[in-house]
Amino acid sequence: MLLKLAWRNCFRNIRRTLLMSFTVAVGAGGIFVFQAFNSGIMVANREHTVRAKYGHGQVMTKGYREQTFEKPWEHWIKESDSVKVVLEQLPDVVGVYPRVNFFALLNAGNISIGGRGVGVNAVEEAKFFNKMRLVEGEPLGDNPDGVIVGVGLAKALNVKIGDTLTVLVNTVRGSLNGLDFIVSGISQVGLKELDDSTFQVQLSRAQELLDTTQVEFFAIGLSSHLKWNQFANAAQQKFPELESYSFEVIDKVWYKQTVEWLAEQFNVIRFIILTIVVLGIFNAASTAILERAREIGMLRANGESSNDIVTLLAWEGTLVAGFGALLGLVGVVFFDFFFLPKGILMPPAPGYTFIAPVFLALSPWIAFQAFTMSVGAALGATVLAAQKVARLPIASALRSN
Amino acid sequence: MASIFQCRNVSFSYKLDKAKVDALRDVTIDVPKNKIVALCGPSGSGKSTLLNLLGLIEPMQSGDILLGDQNIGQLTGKQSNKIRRDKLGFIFQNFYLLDALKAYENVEYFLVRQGVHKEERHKRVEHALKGVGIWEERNKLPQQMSGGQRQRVAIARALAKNPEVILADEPTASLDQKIGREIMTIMRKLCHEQGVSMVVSTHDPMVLEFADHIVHLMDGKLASHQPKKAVSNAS
Repeated sequence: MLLKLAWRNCFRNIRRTLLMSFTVAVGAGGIFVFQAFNSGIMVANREHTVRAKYGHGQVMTKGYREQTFEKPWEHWIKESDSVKVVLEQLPDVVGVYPRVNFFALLNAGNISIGGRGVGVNAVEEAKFFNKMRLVEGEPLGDNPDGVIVGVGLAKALNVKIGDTLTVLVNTVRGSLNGLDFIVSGISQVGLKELDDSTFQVQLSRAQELLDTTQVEFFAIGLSSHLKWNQFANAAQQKFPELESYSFEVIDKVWYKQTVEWLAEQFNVIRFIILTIVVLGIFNAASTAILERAREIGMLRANGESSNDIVTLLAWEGTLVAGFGALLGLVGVVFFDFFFLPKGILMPPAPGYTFIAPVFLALSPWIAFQAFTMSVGAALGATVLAAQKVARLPIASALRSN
Repeated sequence: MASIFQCRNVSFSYKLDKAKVDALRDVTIDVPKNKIVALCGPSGSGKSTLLNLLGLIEPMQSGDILLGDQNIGQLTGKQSNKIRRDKLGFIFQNFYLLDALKAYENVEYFLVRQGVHKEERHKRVEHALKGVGIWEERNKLPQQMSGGQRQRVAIARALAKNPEVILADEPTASLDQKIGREIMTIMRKLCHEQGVSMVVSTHDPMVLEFADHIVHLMDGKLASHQPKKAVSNAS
C-alpha cells in the first residue's frame, strides 16, 4: 500500500515530477557520458599502445629490463625459435613476435643521423599491430630490403618513398656493419620522441646487421588484455629464466599514468555532477514535501511513524529518480547512435601528435554505475528533505500552511 | 459512568516568539465512554489543544491523561504510534484525505497499515462507506468530490479502524449548515451503533445539539462540564 501510494503520489504534480526526473536524467546521463567517454579514451589509448607499439606485453630474460648492460645482447633470448613455439601454445595467445632493438647511424646522401632500429617479422606482425599509421608508402610486408622510417626521422634525413637509406651498426662482436635499405613507408606512432628516432626493418636483416641469431624479446599478442596475468603465470612456469611485463608496466608514463589521471579527473567531475543532482533534488523535494506537511501530519496522527513517512517519501524519490535515470541513460544511447556514429574527434592527447576520434564506450556496467549513483544521490537528497518534515511535531505539521 | 479519558490537572503552554502562552490551565475532566462529548469555547480557549493532547499529537507537559488505564504521558513514541493507529480515529476540519487515493483506498489505507486481512478489510471499508452513504462514490478521487462527500469519507476512514474513540476537530467548520447537520447526524448514529466514544471540538452551536456531554473551556480553564439532557430533535 505504501508503494502504491508512493507511485500514485508521483502523478500528483506532473510538472514537478518531470522536473525532478529531468534533474536526475541530466545527472545520470552526464555521469554515463563522461564515464563512457573516459572509458573510450582509455580503450583507444590502450589499443593504440598495444597494437602500435608493445603488444599486450613482452617476454625477455630475467633482469634484462631493470639493468643496463655494456653488452646487452649477451642477455638476449637464446634458442628463440623453440621458446616462441612453446609461448604460442599457451592459452589466449594470438601471436608471439620476436624483436630486436638496436642503435644505428642512418645515412641518406649527405645527412647522417643516429636512430633506433627495431627488427620485426613484418608479415606476422601486420595482423596484430594494425594501429601503426603509415602516413606514406606501404607496410614492410615480406620486402627484405624495405625500411619504415618515423615521420620526424624521415624529415630530418630528407628521405621519401623509394630512397636508399644506409644503416650502420656495431655488431655484437664489435665490428662495424652496414646495409642499404629502400624506404618503403613513413610511419607515425604519434609520440614525437619515437617518430623522430625510430625505424623498422625485417628481423632477419636486423640480425644480419648485428651478426646474431638471438632475439631481444618477444612482443605478445593476446585475445584480450584481461588475459595478461594468466599468460604471465603460465610463461613463468614454462620458462623460469624469462620474465614478462605487461604493456601497462612498459608504457607506464604514457598509458598507466594517463589512465590514472583520467580516473581521478572523472572522480572530481562525478562528484560535481552528483552534488548538482543532490542539490537540485533536495531543493525540489523540500518544496514538494513541505507543501504536504499537513497530509504528513494526518498520516502521523493516524499512527504512521516518522520512519514510515520517510520510507514513503523515499519510495517516491526512488521511483521518480529511477524514471529520470532511465530517461538519461536511454537519451545518451540514442544521442550516441544518431549523433556520434563517427565518435568525437579529439585534439592530440598530451605527448601525441595526431588527432583521433574517441568513441563512447557505453557498457551495461557503466550504465548500471551511472544509474545507481544518480538514483542513490536523489534518494539521499529526498531522505534528507523528508527527515525535516517527518520529524516535525504532529500538531505543527497539521497547523502548517 | 465509565470514562474513556481521565484528565487530571492538565496544563499546557506554547512558546510564541519569546512569550509563553498558557493554552490549558489545570484542567481536570473525565470523558465518558460511548458518548459524544463536545469541547466548546471561543478561539484560544484551549479546546484544540486539549483535543491534541487526547490524540497524542501534542506532548504532555503537566498533569496526567489516562486512556483506559494507560497514562499517555508515559508512552514511548512507538507506543503512541500504536495507540494512534489502533485505538484512535481522527476527523479534521479540512478532511486531509490522501489526494492520490480513491475514496475506497483512503478508507482502506490505514486498515492495511493495521495489518487487517484483505477480506475483513473489504468488509469494513464497505460497511463504513455504506454507513456514511457514499459507497457509490468509492472510486472517485478526493478532488472529484464535494466537501460534504470528502468529510463523509474522512468519517468512514476513522470508523473503519474500529477505534475506541474518535477525535474530531471542528468537523463541520468547512461545511455549510445543511451538510454539517447531515455529517453530525451520521457521526452520532454510527458512534452510537458501534459503541465508539467521540470527542468533538467546535464553536458551532449546531454541533452541540448532537452532544451527550458539553465541556466549556474559557481561557484554558474548565468553565463547565455537564451532560446534555435533551438532544436536538434533528437526530
